[in-house]
Amino acid sequence: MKNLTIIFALLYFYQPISSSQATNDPSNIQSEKKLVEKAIHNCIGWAKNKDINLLYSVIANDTSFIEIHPNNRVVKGFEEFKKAEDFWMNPDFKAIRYEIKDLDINFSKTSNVAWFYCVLDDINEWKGQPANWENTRWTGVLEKRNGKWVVVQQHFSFASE
Amino acid sequence: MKNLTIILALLYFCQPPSSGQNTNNTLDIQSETKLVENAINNVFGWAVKKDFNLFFQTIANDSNFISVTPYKRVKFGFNEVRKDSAFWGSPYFKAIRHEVRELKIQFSRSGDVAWFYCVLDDINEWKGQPANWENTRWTGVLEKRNSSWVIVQQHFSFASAY
Repeated sequence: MKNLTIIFALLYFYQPISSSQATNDPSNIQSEKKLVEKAIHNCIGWAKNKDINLLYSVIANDTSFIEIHPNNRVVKGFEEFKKAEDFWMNPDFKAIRYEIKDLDINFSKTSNVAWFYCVLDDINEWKGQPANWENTRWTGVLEKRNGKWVVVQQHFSFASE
Repeated sequence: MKNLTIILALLYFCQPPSSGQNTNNTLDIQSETKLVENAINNVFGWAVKKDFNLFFQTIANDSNFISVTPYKRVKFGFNEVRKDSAFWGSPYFKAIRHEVRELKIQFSRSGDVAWFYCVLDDINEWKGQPANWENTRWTGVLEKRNSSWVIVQQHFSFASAY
């Protein structure tokens, strides 16, 4: 009986910290922020080497994914998102550089969801001509799934006059 | 000793899940969806009766709040939003109606965060002239704080012609 009491006492008082509790620690928030930043950068940075698998690793692979473009296109679901692959992987499409400015990342209290705001310059060429998104307001939501941050929703827009 | 063992066993096996462990399986999706919908509608619905308290209850009252307008203006922090009170409170500003279409709400696996997409028509008048946001793409994030859903970030845009 004494041993059983000790076992239950140990189980109760020394339970492992859940990932959500662990990330509330300020030092963990900093490391999570770096991971989120990396995922945000990979959303655009994959294009330089046309590493499409890197892109797909940071986008939620499900039907709930939503992406709003600066024009009237709204992408609903990962399968719809993948349809742009023909364009991106075409040799006529060339990613030149990108820059993310004013990046602001916030975490939920349980630290398993992050949302961000930034301004994006995405400089590309299509058949040798500029195909850029400049001064693009970019907001998004990421969720930590199986230890990895993935974008579940994102919204790109240009400021109207 | 026997009683202590039983108490410790009960404590171990009967712990309530924390909010972070509240998976979508245990979340009452339908009732939470209605609460989130209500909060989303209140972001515009308050204006008909100029119920500022209702509006301010629906927006996160902190410096991290971000609102991207369709124009160049991006509001950082709750106090920046409050600065517009003079405009909205002016008798020249009259909210006529709003309509939220194609609303799509998703919940985090922990159930304490929701994000949404919709198309908004916000019909108003300023000095008797139309002051509308029509076919506005509206996305946002809400967090459940003290049992209430509040908007922590939102982004409005008009589709560009390019």
